[in-house]
Amino acid sequence: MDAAGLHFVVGKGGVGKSAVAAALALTAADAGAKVLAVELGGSEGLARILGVSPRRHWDRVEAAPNLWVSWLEGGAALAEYLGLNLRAPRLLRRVEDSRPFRTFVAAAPGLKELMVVGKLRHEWRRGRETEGPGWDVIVVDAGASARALQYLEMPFAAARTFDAGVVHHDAERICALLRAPDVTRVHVVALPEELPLTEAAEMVARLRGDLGLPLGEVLVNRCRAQAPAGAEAAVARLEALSVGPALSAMAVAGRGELGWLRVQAEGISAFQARTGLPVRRLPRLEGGVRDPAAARRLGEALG
Amino acid sequence: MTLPELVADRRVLVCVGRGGVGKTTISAALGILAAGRGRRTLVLTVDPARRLAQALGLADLPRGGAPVDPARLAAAGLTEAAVLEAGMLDARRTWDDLVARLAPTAALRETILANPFYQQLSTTFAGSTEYAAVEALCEVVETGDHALVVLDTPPAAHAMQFLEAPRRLTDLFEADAVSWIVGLARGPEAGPWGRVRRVWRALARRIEGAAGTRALTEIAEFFEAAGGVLAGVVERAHRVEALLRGPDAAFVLVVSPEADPEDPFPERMAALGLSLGAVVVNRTHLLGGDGGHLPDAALLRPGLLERLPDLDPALADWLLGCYARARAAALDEADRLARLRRALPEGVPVTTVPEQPGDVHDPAHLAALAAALGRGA
Repeated sequence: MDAAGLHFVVGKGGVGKSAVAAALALTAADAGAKVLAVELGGSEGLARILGVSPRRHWDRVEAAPNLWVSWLEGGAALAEYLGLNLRAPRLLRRVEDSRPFRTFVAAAPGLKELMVVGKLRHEWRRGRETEGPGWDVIVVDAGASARALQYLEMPFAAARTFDAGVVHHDAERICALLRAPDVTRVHVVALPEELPLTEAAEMVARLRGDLGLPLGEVLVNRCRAQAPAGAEAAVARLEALSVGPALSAMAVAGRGELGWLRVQAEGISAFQARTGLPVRRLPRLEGGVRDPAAARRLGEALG
Repeated sequence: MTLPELVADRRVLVCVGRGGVGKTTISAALGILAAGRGRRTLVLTVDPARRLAQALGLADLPRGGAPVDPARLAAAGLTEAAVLEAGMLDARRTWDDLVARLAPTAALRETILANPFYQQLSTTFAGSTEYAAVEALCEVVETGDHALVVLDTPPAAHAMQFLEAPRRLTDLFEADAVSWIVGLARGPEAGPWGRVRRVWRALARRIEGAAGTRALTEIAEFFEAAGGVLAGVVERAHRVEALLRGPDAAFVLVVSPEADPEDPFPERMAALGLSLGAVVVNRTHLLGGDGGHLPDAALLRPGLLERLPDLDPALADWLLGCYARARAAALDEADRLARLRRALPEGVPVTTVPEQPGDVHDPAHLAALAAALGRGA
């Protein structure tokens, strides 16, 4: 996988976005790139897998050589932005905590998401067009929100809503970066089951459609390894034996595995028929991905 | 009270849980269980992915609810006498209906419906979908056409989001916030608060200038126009809260076996005055027990090869691998389940639902889930 760039990892809840983001970030950092791994909306899974706990919005914690981990939150990002534009810090502090301000932030469409992605744009540009050391790779875990593409969709909504003023210009610049094919990659994570793959296909259609964002890879997480030839017959023979709880449990386990392999094969071919896209299969790791060692093993499959 | 007893006894079951745990599927299965036991049941979903519609064989779920195809019910093992209906919530429509009902005049209704802040509020405001869900629940329960309503809640990062969201929204509508926001835009610049207002307005203008929007002005206009209507919304919200806290309702927390067993969810629920009725651990891999009674895979190789002497070594390895993974998963999950049971308040039943390969839209699959929930084990 070509590492340099701004990588967004998207997918529905529970598919392993954080594990994939951690694997991408560690793989790139191990290869010598300077990497920022950032979670949007709060600190949930990514930091935990990488073994660190950034406490506040935009705390950057070094998790491994070349790898920093952080998270971004919309309200705080907006306050930062207003701080740059309003030049009234004392007043701003009082405003931030007030109910009308929070109402405004919550109600203005896409403003929080716009500010978060705007912060990413600022970080990406550092060391390129502006001062300071920059990042070779930024990996974004696009959050555990109900709407999988929220952070990628909302800046476009904001650009439409705010039809004039500073925010409009910023929104346009942010959207341009999101659409830049030489910078941005949006990776879609799914599970090898029917419904998650259907939802991934819908997500791909959104990304390719009016959003027009550069699609990265489709990663099917927790794939099962192919069974050897004759597995079906071997399970049937074992089932016919009916001897003892252990061998019966083995037959149940084998039958279950075959069932899931069929679901996996059917789901992936339906996805490919619908999207015409190749998928990359990531292995199902025993014990899940809960630490950097497991994330590195997952990273080996990213190529 | 066990889960089957709750299904037989309550008027409302609310399925809560994180996104991706299978709330919608469990809601549908609870509906089948209740209908199969003779209760006239409605399942309401807010799931935008329309999983429930697919699971129940409805191309598109009507808002008020529609009977599920009897052929589907028969395939799920239900008799002709069973009544199961399903409906989809539409947050925007629910809000519009509420405004239409509460607005005293047609002119006021149109003013509110056309206000840009109202349009945001009813669609994208944090908590508006959740509020619409409880509002629709209230409406259905008050009409009394169903013995049981199963509510599938919006996908959320945390189980608590659903429960806290309506409160956050009504907090926003309570009198002090409304007068604060309206005062900010409209109050006099003299008097004790005048200086504060002047500063606020100057700031609001600068924020609006920077943002290229009239958002603050629109918010103030909305609250001014909608003051009386909002009082009605708050009043209704309090009625729904009373229903959810009362003896007619129970919450069913759906979790995955990988969930944190020490999740503080039940405590946080209790802090809101709500009580947890039951926990469903969905998609477990318990292998007919906790796995502890089963020997290590390495010990099984001789026995396997004795029974099937001509078995290809690669196939033996594969079978032993399947067994070893299943056993490890069962042991891990049994440990987590034990911790979950210890962490829960006394008397909250935990039901495990085994994972099955295959199509969750299949009525037979839903029937198997309903049976597992009905055993309440």
